[in-house]
Amino acid sequence: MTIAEETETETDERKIVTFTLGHQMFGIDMRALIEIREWEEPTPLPSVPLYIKGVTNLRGSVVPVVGLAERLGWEPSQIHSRSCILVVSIAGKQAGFLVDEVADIVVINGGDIQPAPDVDVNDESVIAGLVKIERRTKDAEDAETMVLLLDLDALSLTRHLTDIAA
Amino acid sequence: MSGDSELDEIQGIFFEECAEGLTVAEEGLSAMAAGDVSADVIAGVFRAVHSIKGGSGAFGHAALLAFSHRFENVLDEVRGGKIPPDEAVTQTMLNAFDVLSDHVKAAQFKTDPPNDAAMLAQLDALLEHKAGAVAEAPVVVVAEAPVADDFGFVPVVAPIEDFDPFGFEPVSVSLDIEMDVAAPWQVRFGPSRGALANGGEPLLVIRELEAMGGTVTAVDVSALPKLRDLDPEDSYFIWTLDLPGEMDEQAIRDCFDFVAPDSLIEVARSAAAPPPALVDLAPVTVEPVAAPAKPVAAETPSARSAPTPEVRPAEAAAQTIRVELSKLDQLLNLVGELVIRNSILADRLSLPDQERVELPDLLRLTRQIQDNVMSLRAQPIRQAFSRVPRMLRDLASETGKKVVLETIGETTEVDKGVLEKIGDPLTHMIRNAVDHGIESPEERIAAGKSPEGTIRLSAEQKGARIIVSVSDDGKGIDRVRVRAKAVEKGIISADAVLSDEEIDALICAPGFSTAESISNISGRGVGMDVVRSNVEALGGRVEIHSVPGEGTTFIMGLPLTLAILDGMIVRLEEQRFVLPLANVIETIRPEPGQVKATSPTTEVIELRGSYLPVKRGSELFGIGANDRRNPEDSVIIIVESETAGHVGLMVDTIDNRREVVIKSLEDNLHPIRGLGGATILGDGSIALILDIDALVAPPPMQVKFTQKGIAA
Repeated sequence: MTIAEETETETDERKIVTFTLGHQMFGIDMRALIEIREWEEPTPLPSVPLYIKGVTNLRGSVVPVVGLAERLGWEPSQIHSRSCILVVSIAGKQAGFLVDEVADIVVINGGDIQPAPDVDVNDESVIAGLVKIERRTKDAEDAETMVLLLDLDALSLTRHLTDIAA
Repeated sequence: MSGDSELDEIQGIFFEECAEGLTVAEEGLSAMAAGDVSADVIAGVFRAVHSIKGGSGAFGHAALLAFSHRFENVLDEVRGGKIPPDEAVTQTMLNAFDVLSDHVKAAQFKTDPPNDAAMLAQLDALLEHKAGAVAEAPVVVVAEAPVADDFGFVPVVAPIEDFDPFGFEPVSVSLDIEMDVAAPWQVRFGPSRGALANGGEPLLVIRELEAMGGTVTAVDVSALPKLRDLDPEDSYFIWTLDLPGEMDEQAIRDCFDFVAPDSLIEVARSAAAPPPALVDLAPVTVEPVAAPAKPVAAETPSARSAPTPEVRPAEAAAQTIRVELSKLDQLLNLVGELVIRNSILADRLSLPDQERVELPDLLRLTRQIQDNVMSLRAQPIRQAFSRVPRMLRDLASETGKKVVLETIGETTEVDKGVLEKIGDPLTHMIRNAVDHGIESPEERIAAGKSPEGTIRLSAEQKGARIIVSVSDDGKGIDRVRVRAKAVEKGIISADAVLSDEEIDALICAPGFSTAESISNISGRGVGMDVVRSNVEALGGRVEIHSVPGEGTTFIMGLPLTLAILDGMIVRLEEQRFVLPLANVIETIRPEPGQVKATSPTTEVIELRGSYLPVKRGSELFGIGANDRRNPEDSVIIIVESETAGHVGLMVDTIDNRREVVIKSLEDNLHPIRGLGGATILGDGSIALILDIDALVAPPPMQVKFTQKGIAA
């Protein structure tokens, strides 16, 4: 922490939205977030990868809903009462991500972000970096947890799917 | 002052205005060619060319500027009655117009400007031969460049589709030229109140005039209010300048090209030869204070002193503004949403509440807003027709055929999106008509027809469709040759029995071309094929009627808009889909035994003695795998597709028929084969719109949706 504090500059603060998929906590840049909606069964689409759950109506626009866990290669999320959809804007296109539970909005320092270890065996990495945050829990003081910051551009549907579209 | 992108944007506006100007000029010239040489028509052409010239100078398109200037000179003389607008002159001007369009294109796409030497010589010849002509002052081409430099903002000043944006008409030049001793010019200039707000810095104009040898002789500050009433955005001064008498009046007026409308601009020879001494210059020192001011509600102080007869008030032009198409689309989206919310609201209310007056009122209002927004996107089809005359002239000169164009219903309005897409099919159809339909003058005379062929272009609205037809009075389709060619190309078998209509339709078959030699007009063998697929991609149809010896008519039936689709809502495994009504031929509830399996996976339906293939919708979408339900429990919709002809599509039930707003999947995802988009139904849920052609495509192209079952 000391190094981070030394290099801390006010401009490098950023807000992230944290959420869970399974037992793992993820974060995305707050600026990309449009809204958080309750889970609603989307209209399924034919001829798309399994992680695209379908499309939903977001104020008159047809927006795809992505099972983020499957997209990242984890076990598909089970829908429960706290399941929700994070609607984000990636390069001007909107997409909804199904997540297990939205946790918090936290402020982190850009300097605190560590590069993701290059262990991603899949295609290109969708993890922009790792950061430690303190959890707002009632009891434990040492409730630090690691957050995987997602690289939204790498998650862009249009980018990944151009070959499938044909 | 402005970055490159900003400049590009302004340039973009300039070229849009050029396009509009060209349209107006062409209409005017065509009217002149048809015999209407009234002053209004000529003045309209003049103004259009004039504004193209103005903008081209501002953006440094030297070649365009030089040409438009010369063209404008000729038009000016025609307008002034010095050159009679007879047939030869009009023809020359029409040709000049073509070169002008090429110049605009060259400037727009940064290609080499067309070779205009011959055309310029013709224009010059006109100028020289005009009756009682006084030697023209050399073309003052560069005069405008400085204006442009000083005014980076230029075209923004007049972005209104008003072809007289400058509030004055540079008439009456010729009268003065003939004066023996050129009396000095006296120029009075009072910027309009809005000038500063529009970025029209009067000082730049004054400097420009001073650079041309002018001197400020007086400044009328009578309109200046008290200091506390001053509005810094207003202009209150009227400058009087003297300029040397040998100046060309047009050159002086050019300085005011980019002055805001409603400004006071008087250019006249001063009656008294000696210019007034440099009196009254003192108020100039007030200038720094002059800028700030306060609105005086009572009156507009600037430039209201009696205008001279030369300054004609700006013609009352239709008030229009430019709006980005994307903003209209957004509005349409929101209104669509409003409609949906309305019906959701209605569903939630109890029946007595639903029938109260407020809700139906709200619904009606919303529909009206929707119709209005749709009409905002509607444009007269004239825009698509306008490029035809030029094309015909080119075609006529290439082929040596004589063609007269008749247009009917050019004010018919269609959605902008449709309009943009019918240009190409129209071009192909016209080319085809000239190339294959109309005969050479000799052949026509031999056939007892007038040597001039006629092409009739018409548009009319029929219900929710727009019918555009191109008919010629040529030789008609040579069915024997078409048939022989189709056999030769392997499109049909040699023993096929075809009706006349079927033979005619062959010319739209892919890879078909009957041209003996490949001309550079049509005959690349893609023409009519492209027409058909373009039109069908728009949800339209192409029909061909041909009578040997009398001519051929191509008819395009197009939807009025691309944003709304007339659809049938069907259900498959409880999911709703929209089937475009344009594809639907009929619906059938099959009798037991009417649907027969021809293999474990294929079925046919017997319909009035013939067998049509049947596709199960559930299978196409991979819903409810191994669905072997009885056809009797389903509904079969006979659809027509381009690739597979008539096919039966088996669905569970038909909900209803309604108009749906098409939402593209590409906006946030990517196109999906078999789907034409999506729509939002009354309850806010999404229904997918089927693309029948892709869905029932024959086996080689068939992609089965196996990646994912559609049912969750």
